[in-house]
Amino acid sequence: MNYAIHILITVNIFVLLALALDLLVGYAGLMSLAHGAFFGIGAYSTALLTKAGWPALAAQSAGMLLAALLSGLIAIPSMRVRGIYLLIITIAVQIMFSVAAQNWIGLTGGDAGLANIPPYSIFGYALRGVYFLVVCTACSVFWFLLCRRLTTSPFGRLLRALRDDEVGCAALGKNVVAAKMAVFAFSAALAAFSGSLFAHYTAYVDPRSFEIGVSILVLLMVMLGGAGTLTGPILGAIVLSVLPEAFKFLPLPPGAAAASRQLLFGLMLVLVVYFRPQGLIGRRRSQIATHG
Amino acid sequence: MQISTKRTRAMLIGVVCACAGLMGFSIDASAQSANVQKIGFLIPLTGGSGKLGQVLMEGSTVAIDEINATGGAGGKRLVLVPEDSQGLAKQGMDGIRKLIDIDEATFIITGWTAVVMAIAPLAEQSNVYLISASTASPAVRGVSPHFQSTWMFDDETVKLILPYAKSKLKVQKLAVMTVMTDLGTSLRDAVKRDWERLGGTLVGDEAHQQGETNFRPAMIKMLTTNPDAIYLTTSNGKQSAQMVRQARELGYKGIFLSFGAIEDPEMLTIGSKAEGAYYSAPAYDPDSPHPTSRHFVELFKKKYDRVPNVHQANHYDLIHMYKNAADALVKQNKPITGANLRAYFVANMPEYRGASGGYRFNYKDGSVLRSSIVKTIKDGKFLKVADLD
Amino acid sequence: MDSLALLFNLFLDGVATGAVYSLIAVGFSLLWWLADIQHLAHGGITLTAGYAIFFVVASLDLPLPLGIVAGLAVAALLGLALEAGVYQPMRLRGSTEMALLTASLGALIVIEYSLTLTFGPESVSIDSGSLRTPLLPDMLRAVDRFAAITVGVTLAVFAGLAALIRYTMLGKAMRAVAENAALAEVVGLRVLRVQRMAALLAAALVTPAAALLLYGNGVTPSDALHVVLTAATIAIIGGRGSIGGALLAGLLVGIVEAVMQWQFSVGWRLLSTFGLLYLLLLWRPQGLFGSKA
Repeated sequence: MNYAIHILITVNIFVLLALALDLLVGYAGLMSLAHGAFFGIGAYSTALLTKAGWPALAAQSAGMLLAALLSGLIAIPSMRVRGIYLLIITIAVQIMFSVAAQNWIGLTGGDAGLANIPPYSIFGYALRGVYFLVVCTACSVFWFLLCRRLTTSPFGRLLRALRDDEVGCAALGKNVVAAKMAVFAFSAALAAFSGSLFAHYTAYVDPRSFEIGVSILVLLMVMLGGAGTLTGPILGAIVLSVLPEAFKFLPLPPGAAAASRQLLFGLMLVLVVYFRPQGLIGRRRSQIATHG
Repeated sequence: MQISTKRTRAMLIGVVCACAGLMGFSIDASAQSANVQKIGFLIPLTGGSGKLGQVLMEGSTVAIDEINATGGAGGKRLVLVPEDSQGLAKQGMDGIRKLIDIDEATFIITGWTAVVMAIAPLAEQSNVYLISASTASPAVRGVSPHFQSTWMFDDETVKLILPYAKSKLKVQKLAVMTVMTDLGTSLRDAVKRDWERLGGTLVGDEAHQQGETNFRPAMIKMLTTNPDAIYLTTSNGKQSAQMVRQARELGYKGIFLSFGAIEDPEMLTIGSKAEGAYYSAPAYDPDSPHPTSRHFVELFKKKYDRVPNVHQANHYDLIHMYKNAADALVKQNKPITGANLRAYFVANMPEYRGASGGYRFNYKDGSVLRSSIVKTIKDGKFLKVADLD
Repeated sequence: MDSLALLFNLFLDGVATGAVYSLIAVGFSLLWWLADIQHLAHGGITLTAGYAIFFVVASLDLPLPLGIVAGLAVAALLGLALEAGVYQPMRLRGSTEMALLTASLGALIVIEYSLTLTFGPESVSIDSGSLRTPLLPDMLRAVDRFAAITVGVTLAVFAGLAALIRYTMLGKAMRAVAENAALAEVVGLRVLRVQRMAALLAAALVTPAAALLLYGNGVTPSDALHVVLTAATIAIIGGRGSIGGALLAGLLVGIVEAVMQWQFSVGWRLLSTFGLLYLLLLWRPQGLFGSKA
C-alpha cells in the first residue's frame, strides 16, 4: 500500500509540473527546458526556509515568488528572440541553476544536499503518508481548475493568439510583453509549488534531482499527452510516472534498465511529434474551430 | 479545452487501467515466499559508477551462494535483490521504497552519499538497517543510528597518508585537485588542515566539476608552482586516470596521493603513466594466510576465475555480518528488524575480522576504523608498500 | 613560470580546444542556414562518429585512416537518415518549429542512449602517446604536436569548406537555397536534394572533430547535449551561416573557457560561455557576422 501511495504522490508532483509547462508550450507556444530549475527553486526554498523555522505554506509561497521573479531571466530575452534562441536561453538558465546548486555550497550544501526537511504541515498538523497524498491530489485538482479558468479567459485567448501570430497581436495593440512575463511567472511559480511538495515528501534535496533530465521528461509528458489541452499533459504525467515503475519489475539486466528507459523516452518524443503531433488527447490544429 | 469525444475519454481510461493492471500484476508476481529472506542491494548499477557497482555485487553474490549452500541465514534462504540507485537521491528513494514495501527487506546494503542521505530517515522510520562499504564522505557521519559504514571515512584516511608522504616520500610542496562534491570539498579541507598541521605548505588548490574530462588548463596552472605531490580527491577511477595521464603528458614528474577509490582497473589502462601514485587502503591482501580471506578468495576464483579486489571482499563480509546477526536473533526468537540488528551489532560486534581485514566499529556515529596500508601502482599492479598505524 | 606565461599557456590551450568546437559548430550553422533546421541531434552524430572511430581503431585494431572512413560513413548515414527520414517529411507536412525541435531532441536522446547501451556510460579515448609531449617543456607546456595537428586540421577543413561554398556548383546552389528557397525551386534547383547534401556535409564535417575529441579528452555519451549546446552557442555568436564566424566564435569560446581558469573558480567558468551568449542575444541576436534573418 505504501508503495502505491508513493507512486500516486509522484504522479501528482509531475501532473503539476506538466500543467505548468503546458501553459508555456501548449498555450503560449514558447518552448522551454528550464522547468527543472524552477522545480528546484521551489524545492530548495522550501528546504532552506522550513529548516530555518518558517511555516510550510510561507516557505512555499516564497519559493513560488522567487521562481516567478527568476522567470524574468527568460521572459526578457523572449521579447527579442524566438525558437531555438529561446530554447537555448532556457537550457542556459537550467544549467546555470544546476551549477549554482552544486557550487554554492554555503547555501545549498552542494552535492551533499539538504537533509531532514520537515514534512508538509498545515496549521501545525504534519502530513505524511496517505494524508499527504490527499493534500497533493487536492492541490492537483485546484491547480487544474485554475489553469483551465486561465486558459478559457481572455488572457488565455491572448496567449493562443500570441502563439499563432505574435506580430499580429502586437499590431493590434495587445501588450505582448506583459502577457509573456505573466505566463512565464505563473508557469514558474506552479513548477516551484510542485518543487515544494517534492522537498517535503522526500525530506532531502540535492542538485541531481533538478537537472535538465527533469525538464526533458516534463516536456515529453506534455507532448505525449497533447500540448495545449491541459488534460493531455495530465495523462502524459500519469503514463510517464507509472511506466518506469512498471519497468522495474521486468526481468531486464540491471545494466540496461535505466538507459533503455531513457532511450524509449527519446523514441517516444520523436514518434509522437512525427505521427501524432497533437499528442494522445489533442486535436489537430486544422480540426479546431476558430473559437477553440 | 474539454475532452471532446467519447473515444478519447475511453482511451484515457483505458491507458490508466492498463498501467494499473501492469503494476498490479508485476507486484503480485514478486510477492514474498515464506522461506526466503531478501537482502537489498541498493547500489549504482548503471551510470558513471555502474561498473563498480556490478563489481561490488559479485562479492556479495559469492557470500550468498556460500551461505545458501550451508543452510541459509536465520533459517532462511537468502536472495539478493539489486536496485539501481545510480548514485542519485531520487532513484535511491524509489529503490528503497520498493525494497521495503514489496521485498520486505530489513537489511540493505547501500552506498554513495546522496543516496544514503536521502534514505536514512526513511530507513529509520521503517525499522530497516543500512550498511555500506562504499560511502566515504564524512557528511554521513552520524546521519542515523540505522546506518553503519564499513569503509573508513576519508577525512580519516587523509590523516594516515599525509604523514607518510611527508616523512617517507619527502613531499614538501603539496597541491590538491578538488572535485566539487561534498566528498571532494571535505577531503580538501581535511588535507589543508592536516598538511598545515604537519608544517607543510599547500602550493596549489584547483577545483573541477564532477563530469570533467579536460584537466589540462587546471594542470597547467597547478604545475606552475612545481608541487612535489598532487592529492586527488575524486572517487571516479576513470577521472583519476584522466587527470594522471594529462598531468604526465604536460610533463609532471612528481607523485600523486589519494585514497582507496583510486584502486580502480581504469588506473591500469594508462600504463606506466600511473606509476608514482600512493594511496591508503584497507589492509586487504588476497594472498593472506588468514582462513576467512583464503576461503573467500578460493570461492571467488572458482566462480569468476579472477582474483577478488578489496571492494569485493568488503561486500562479502557484509553478508556474513548479516548471517551472524540473523542466526543469533532467530535463536533468541527475536524478529529480524533494523533495531534488533543494530542492537545485536552494538552488543556483540565491536570488532570483526573478515575476508577484507580487520574492522573496529564506532556505532555512535556510524564510522569504522580499518587497519590500513600504503599501496602504489607499479608494473600494472596495485602493490603494498608499507603498513600504516 | 610567471603569471603572464601561465596566461599565455592557457590561451594556447584554449585555441586548441576552441578549434575543435569550431569544427563541430560549423556543421550546425550550415544546416541552420540552409534548411532552417536546428539540428540538436548534431551532438549525437558527433559522438557516434567518435565511437565508430574508436570501435575500428581500438576494438578491431585497424589503422586510423580506416577509422576515419568508418566515422565519416556512419556520421553521413546518420545525418542523412535524420534529414531525409525525419526532418524533411515533417517540414513538408508543415510541422511547427517546436515539433521539429522536439523531434531533434528526441533523436539526440535516442542516439545518446543507444551509445550508452552499446558502449557503456563511461568515456572512451585513445592515447595519443608521444604526440602529447610538450615541445618546450617548462615554458610552453600547452604546445605539443597534437595541438599543432588540431589547429592545422581545423584550418584545412575550414579553407576547404569556404572554397566549396564559394567556387563549386553545390556551394552556389546552397547559397541560393539559403537566400530564398522558393525562388531557387522555381529556377530549377532541387531544394530537397541540396538540403540533403547539406546534412551530409554537416555530418562529414564533424568526423575530424570527433577524432580529435577521441584522441584528446575522450568521448562520453552523456556529453551529447553539451556538445550540441556549445555548437549552437558558437553558431549563434558567430552568426547563422557565417563560416568565418563559426571559426572565430569557436576559438573565442575555447579561449575564454581556458583563460577563466587563470583567476576564476570552477563554477564561474561554466557560466562564462552562457553569460556571453545571454548578453549577446540581448544586444545583437544575429551574432557577430550573421545577417538579420
